[in-house]
Amino acid sequence: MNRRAIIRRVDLLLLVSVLLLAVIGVFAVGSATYDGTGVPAFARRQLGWVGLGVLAFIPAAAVPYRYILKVAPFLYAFAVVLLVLVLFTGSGARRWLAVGPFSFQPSEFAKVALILSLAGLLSYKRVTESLGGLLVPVVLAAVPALLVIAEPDLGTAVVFIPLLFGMLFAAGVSYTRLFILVSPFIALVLSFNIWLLGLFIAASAVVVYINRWRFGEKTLGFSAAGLCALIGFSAPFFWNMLKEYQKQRLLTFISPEVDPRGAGYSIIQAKIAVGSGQLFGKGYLDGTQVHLRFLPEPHTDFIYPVIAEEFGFVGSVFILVLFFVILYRAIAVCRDAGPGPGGVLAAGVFVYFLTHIVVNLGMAVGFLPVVGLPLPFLSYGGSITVASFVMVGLLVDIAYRSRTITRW
Amino acid sequence: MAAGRKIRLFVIYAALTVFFAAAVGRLFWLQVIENHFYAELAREQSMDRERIPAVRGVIYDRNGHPLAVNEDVVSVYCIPGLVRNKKENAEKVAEILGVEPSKVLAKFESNRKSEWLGRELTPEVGERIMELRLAGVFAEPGTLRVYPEEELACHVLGYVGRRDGSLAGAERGLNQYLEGLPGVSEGVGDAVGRQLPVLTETYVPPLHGLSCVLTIDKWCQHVAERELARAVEKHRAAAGAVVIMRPATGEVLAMASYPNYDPNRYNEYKPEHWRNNAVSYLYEPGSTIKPFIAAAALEEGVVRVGDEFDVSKKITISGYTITDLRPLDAALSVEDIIAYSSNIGIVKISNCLGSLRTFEYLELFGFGAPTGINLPGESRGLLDYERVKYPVGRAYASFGQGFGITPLQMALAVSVLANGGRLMRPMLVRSVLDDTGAEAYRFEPTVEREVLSPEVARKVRLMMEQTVVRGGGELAVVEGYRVAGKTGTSQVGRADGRGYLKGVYNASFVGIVPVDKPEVVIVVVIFRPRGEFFGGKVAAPVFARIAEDILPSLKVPPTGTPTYNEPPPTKWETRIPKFDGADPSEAITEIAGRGFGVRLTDAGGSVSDMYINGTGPCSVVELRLSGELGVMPDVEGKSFRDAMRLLAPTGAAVTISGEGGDVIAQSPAPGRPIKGEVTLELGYLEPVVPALSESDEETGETDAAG
Repeated sequence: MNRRAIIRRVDLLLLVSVLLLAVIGVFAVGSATYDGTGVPAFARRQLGWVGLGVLAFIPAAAVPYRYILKVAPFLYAFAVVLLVLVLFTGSGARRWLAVGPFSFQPSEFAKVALILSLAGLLSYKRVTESLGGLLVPVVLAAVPALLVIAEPDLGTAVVFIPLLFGMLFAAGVSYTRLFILVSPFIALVLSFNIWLLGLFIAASAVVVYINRWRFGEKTLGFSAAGLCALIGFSAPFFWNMLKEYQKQRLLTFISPEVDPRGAGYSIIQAKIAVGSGQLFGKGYLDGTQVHLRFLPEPHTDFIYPVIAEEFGFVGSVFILVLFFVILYRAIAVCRDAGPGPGGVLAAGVFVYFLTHIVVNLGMAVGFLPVVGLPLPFLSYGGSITVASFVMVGLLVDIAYRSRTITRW
Repeated sequence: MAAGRKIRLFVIYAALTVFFAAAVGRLFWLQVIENHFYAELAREQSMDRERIPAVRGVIYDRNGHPLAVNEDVVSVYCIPGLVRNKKENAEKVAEILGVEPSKVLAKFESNRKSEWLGRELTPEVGERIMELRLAGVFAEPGTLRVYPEEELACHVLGYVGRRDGSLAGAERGLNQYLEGLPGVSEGVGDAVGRQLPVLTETYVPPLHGLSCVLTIDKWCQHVAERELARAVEKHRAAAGAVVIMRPATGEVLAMASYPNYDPNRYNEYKPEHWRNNAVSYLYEPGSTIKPFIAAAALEEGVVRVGDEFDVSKKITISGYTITDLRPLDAALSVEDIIAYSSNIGIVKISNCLGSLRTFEYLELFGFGAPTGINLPGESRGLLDYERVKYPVGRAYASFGQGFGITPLQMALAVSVLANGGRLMRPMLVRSVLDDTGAEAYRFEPTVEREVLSPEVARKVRLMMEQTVVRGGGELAVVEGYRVAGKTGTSQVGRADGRGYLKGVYNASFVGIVPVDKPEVVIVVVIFRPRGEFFGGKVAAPVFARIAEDILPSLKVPPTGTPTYNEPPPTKWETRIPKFDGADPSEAITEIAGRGFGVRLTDAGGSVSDMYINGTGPCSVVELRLSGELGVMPDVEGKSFRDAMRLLAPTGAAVTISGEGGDVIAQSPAPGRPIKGEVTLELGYLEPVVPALSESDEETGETDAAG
């Protein structure tokens, strides 16, 4: 295969979108941390992370993913070790591990490792086609998730849930089984209202009864319903075990105006930043919300409002379009890769990006509670930037090795 | 499986599209539809409006001594959320503040947004705390109002509330000059509330307050307060007030009130200490009003200086009997009525004046209306024509009962007598100075109205001088100066307005010095003294001591020994020969010719014995007779005075019934021989005075009115 053929089979639209986002990200971080004197250190470092990301992109795209999946179990084990390590050696919030002068987040590495491991695991029919077999990927996801919760980093831990279910969904697990797996989480959410919870448990019992021929063993289905009940009713007890700031974040989501100086303050300031950007924005480095320090965490969690304020509706929608391209191409790759491990892996990449984008943007425009998740390519951070580039590399690799290339 | 995959893909596409559509819609809503709202919020929260406080004006006395100044202070506060190492830092801060570390720690751990660690600290203490460079601890500079003379002139100055901005006294009355106008600095501020100097949009400098130069003289004020406090304490009185005024201008030289307080620590005192009795304590003036009634009568021409009024008989009006404290069996001139403070005499003078004019003059002298001084809480007094209209009310009013005034009103009214009859508007401020110390405005004396002719004012002063010389005001004598004055001992009305309290009095003295060229008017009121209660005993000495101490400092030249309108009384023997066995008419002519009143007892014949009941010029000689008397003249329809003149030669003892100045019935009938005594019924021929209505009733007897 000559070079031209290779280039033709590489998804240029995806790469352009990613690079554009990464460059915008460096400038956005620069604006968010600009103190009036020269190029901020954060922007330079972010440029370095982008460079590192591009370097990581090359092997991820070049090495056939089936080789990478082979080493996935080792990567997973290594990630778990790191997550345990960070609990003992990490300082402060115990989220970072120091490597020489740098530090990185093992949780970010764990996400990549989990995606790879699940992609390998879910190609076995034994796993996907029995309820008992599905417990393996559940446990696989639960271990790093619980370790991350212990850091504590609830926001990052939350990402493991959609990763698991997204990849199960892509692997063709039946809706009923998915429902049974998801039902404890739904029960958890509904535990705030005892009547809704009761209704849900009754409904899930009915579903299990109707589909009893599918799993053969009734007891398993009913025990799942029982688990829902157990989780649902004991959730208020666990609620009390949550850290105060975690409760606060959930509560202020329900009504951010209640506490304008608390966690709700961030949401209000983000909304003001976005709204006051108007149609064309205030201009680069002229955003008052960020430069007068009303916006908290402008270079990480709230990087999107920085762009929205300085470039307005036009700039914000442009960013959305770029993200939409990445997600859309991920689905396309997933579709073209077919039902094998490549498709499941592409689905994992898709869910990885989708989760970060939805949670972060939802927070920035006031849809969702403040969960400290970075926005890929835009937010400052080495781990997330490198991980994102690796994800894109995998996507390019899968697409390259699929039979057809989607053009549109 | 392929169909299932398609459906799954469709679900994903749909969800993805829905999310992005929702996100774009949301952005459109925030940035295009509602953008003005958020733009305004962003502008508003970044717009920082800082108030630059104006420096409050200083208050000086008339000679430039500062009475109220500003001191730089620092208040230190913390934002608990930002403080680190709370326990350790609390100890450091507590050590500097000199308080318990636990108290500081409690503030560091407070849930509130900010907490004061110490307010109004000296700049040194504030600096020491800030030198610790603690995160979350901030200093706020400010000024504190300080009264360097402490209690001095506290009621005049008032105070500035430290936290609530409340004001009292001149601080409130003169606030329009003192407070100034705060400046404004408007600019872009960051989330921490720091204004970025580069981005300041508007800057309006503050207009600092004007300083006020009061008319108060620090020394006069000091003397007034010292003597007032001494008198109130000595007589265990409820309260007291002194006003010293320069009559020619209406300037208040001193205004003292007791009990007093230290305005630096005003909140440590009970509220009654804050009260400025000189402008807010209502009292009935008592006899100190008599000179004004006399002045009114003289001004109106209804009475001449030489007119004499018989004060030997009690007056009964509508069942109320008016007596004198020291009954004199004589006819008194207007001057003597003032000098001896005769109730009966002044009632008779006010009868000549009539109710309406009595009331009008009280109003002209400024009673019943606010004086217009720049002080809050001034009472207008309580003067109601309904209470003066009827004879009883008028009679009471003529000796200062039945209406209420303030010490300041009295000082202004006395100044009318001392200032050629002109009522002045009181002055508390001489001038205001701008912040460079240059005079911005000078206040000029204002004549409110001319109440009396200068001549009448002078005559009344001379009458008042006799009060001090030979009346009840002997204790008011000031060595080397001629003093005019009047004592007052007034009853205190019940709170419910029904009658007077038994044994409760207000003692007062009003004085003018010197008599010829009045420089100072001093009003002293001691409220509810215990034990001794006469104005002449309680208040007059206060006047004398104040005057002695302030006159030299005010450079009032001594005026020499007091002069007497008449030679001092000599022993009666030296002035009136014995008339034993003499013809009564001869004796009467002789005695009356020497200016003495004559009283005959027993019926007709020759003089058997002679008594004299006093040593003054109004002393009455009593002749005891024996024998026949003459023929009864026709006195019906004549004035009482004329009737007495006609009856005098007969030497008959006269018994009077009824009230009034004219004889309406006589016994025996004209032409009949007089045996024993003559009875005259008195009444008014003209004008007819309406009967007193029930509502106008005062209570029982005036048992005291000095």
